[in-house]
Order: sequence, then C-alpha cells, then structure tokens
Amino acid sequence: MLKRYQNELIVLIAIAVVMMSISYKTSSMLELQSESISTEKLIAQMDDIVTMKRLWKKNKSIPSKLEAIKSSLADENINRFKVEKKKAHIILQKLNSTKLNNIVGKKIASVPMQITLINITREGDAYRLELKCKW
Amino acid sequence: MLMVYLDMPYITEAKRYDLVLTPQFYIYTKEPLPVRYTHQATNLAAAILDDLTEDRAYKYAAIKSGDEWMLFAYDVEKIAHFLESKGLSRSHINKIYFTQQLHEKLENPISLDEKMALADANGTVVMLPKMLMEDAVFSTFDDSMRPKIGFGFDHGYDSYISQKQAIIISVLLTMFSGGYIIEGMGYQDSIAKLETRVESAKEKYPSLKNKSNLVLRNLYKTGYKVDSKQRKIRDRLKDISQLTSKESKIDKLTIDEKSYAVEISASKKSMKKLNEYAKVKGLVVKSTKDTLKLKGAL
Repeated sequence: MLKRYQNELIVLIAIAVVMMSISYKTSSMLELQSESISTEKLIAQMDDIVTMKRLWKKNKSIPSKLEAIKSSLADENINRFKVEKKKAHIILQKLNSTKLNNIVGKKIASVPMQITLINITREGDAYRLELKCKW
Repeated sequence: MLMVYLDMPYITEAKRYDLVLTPQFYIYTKEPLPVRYTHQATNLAAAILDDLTEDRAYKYAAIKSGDEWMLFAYDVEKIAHFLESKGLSRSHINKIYFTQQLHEKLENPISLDEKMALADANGTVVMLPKMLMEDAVFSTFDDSMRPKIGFGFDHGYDSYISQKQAIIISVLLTMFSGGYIIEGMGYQDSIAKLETRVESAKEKYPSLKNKSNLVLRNLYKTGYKVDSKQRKIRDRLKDISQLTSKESKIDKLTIDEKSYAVEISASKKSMKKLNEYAKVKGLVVKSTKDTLKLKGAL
C-alpha cells in the first residue's frame, strides 16, 4: 500500500516538513514579539525598582525624621515612642486638632515609611494617635 | 520468484512476487557502449531498441556485462495486463528480472512446464520446445539462481502524481521549509540578543546585577504594590483632613494596609456639604443626622 502511493507519501512528508517549519517560524516570531515587549518593560521597570527600593526600603533618614517629630512634642503628648531598626510603634496623646493635623498631614504623610496602622480617637477635645510603621 | 511466460499457471496465492520475465515479454540486445554509468546506458537503450519496439510506452533497463551492456525494453502495461489475467495484480509485483540474466547459469536448460524450457543459444537466453532438446537434462528454476540486479516494475503506477512531479514538489517544499527554518532561527537569535540587552541594562544598577529576570519582575511587583498602597493611604489621609473643620471633627479613624474606617461628627448644616465632598473623593459614605461614616477598602 505504501509503495502504491509512494509519490503521494513523499509529497505528504514534504508538506508535513513545511508545516513544521512554518510552525517553528511562527512560534519563534510570536516568542520574539512577546519577549521584546517584556524586555522593554523590564528595562523600564529597573529604574522604578531602584527608586521604589530607595524610597520605601532603604531609607536611612526615617529614624531621624521620627525623632524630629518627637522633639517637637511636649512630654505629656508622648505615651509611647519606640523606634527600632526597621519599624516603629508610636502612641501620642492629648493632641489638639491643630497639632494632630500638623503631625498627620504634614509630618507623618511626608515621611517615606510604610504605614501599617494609623489609629485616631477623640477623647473630649483632645486626640489620641497610634502609628505603626516600617521601612 | 515467479517465471513469467504466456502459458504460466494461474496464480492463486496472494502475496508479493519477484518476477523473472522470459523473452516473450522483453526485447533484448547486447551492445558495446561508450558510456560509464547505468543511467547513461539506459538512456541510450531507448534509441538503440527503438526499431525493435512498437509504438508503445516501453521501459528500458541496462546491465553491464564485461565490456558490453545488456539492454532491455519491456512493456509495463502489457505485462501488467497479462499478469492480471493470471490472477496477479500490480500491487503484488515486487522486483523484476530478465531470464537473460541467467545465461551463465544455463549449463542445462531450465524446464518451465511440460512443453517449454529456457536454453542458452550462443549467449542469448531463448524459450524452446522441449521436443527439440531430446537428449537434454533439464534443471528446475529455484531461488538460488536469483540474479544480482533487479528492477522496479512500475513504482507509483497508481499514483495521482508521477515520481518526477513528486520529486519536484518535494524539492520546492523543502526549499520553502529551509527558508522558514532560517527565518525562525533569525528570530531565535534576536531573542538571545534581547537577553544581552537586559544584561547590559543591569550594568547601570549594581544592586540588580546578579538578579534574574524573574526576581526583577517580582521585585517590581512587590515594590509597586507597596508604593501604590502607601500612596493610597496618604491620599485618604489628605481627603479625610479636608473633611475636618471647626464644625466637623474626627471621632475615630483607623487606616491599615487593607482598609479605612472613619467617623466624623459634624453639624447638620455642614453635613450635606461633607457628604458631597466625600462622594466626589470616592469615599464610601454612610451618614446619620450628625455623624459621617466612611468605610472602604484600600
């Protein structure tokens, strides 16, 4: 049977080889397209990785900025002020609304630390502020 | 092997056969030809045997014999038609040989049937009636006499395309394949070059130098997540601070990495304005008469 249709068989094998080579070419072309896009993206992202790392992870100025907040407050406002190597837990109390706005809006928000918790409660006319953060 | 002659018996067993054509089915001559290769001799056979063949599509074969060439012409259609009448279809024909190839082994005539035998007559194998060879001792044909060189009967006879066409098409298709493969290899080469681009880009950032692409993508993902989350927390703080005034004060505020919850007590007068502002800022609002409650995910 194979011998009977050997000519057709030869052509079929050749067609199969062409199909496989077309498939190889097409898949390589698509792979190149997708690799080009992801490579360009990755190269552009490298700059962002370094910037974000510097901003949120490797910022050595954070403890001193937190200390500056502490020094701007009276002792009676400080309930807890624990600054460790990579994290801080701060509880402030008896803050009036101006001080609270100043500390939260201007100071805490501008320090590039990762805020994990901010808790504000009103006790009469004064405020209690709890802050947990890391960097 | 099967000896093919006009009075051969009917074939009952359906299997593939090698055929030995008797002189009844081929035209033969022997010539000294100034050629070296078989295909050259085969091409010349067509011209040499032209006068002896009828106006039909013959196939030709050539076999070197000493300094000369044995040249054969045989009519494939005629042989096939005859064999079909003897119960043997084309698909059961394997190789063919010519009885002329047996001439060196014909010390004794080979018996074909009761009446006929093959004999050597001055170097040419002929079919003779046994009655003309009264004193002869007949031998029988067996597989040990198989000639060294055999020929294809008619390969591709049932094909819709000829062997020549098949070869041309296959060569063309193979050339296309080669082109596609070369193109594909070019793309693969470009992919490898992209990796070099990434490596040279890493040179600018010493801290990323030894990190794989996968690690870099994860670093970006994690960094982006932290960055956008922290920006959202700060945006919420800014929005909420806009809601506070002398007439509206925060009672309770909790913001963590996942959500925010705020309660602001305000005068009835300012409540409508606060509600509108909170909605504009996309804060989820649920308010009572004097309390504005904001709650949502980050």
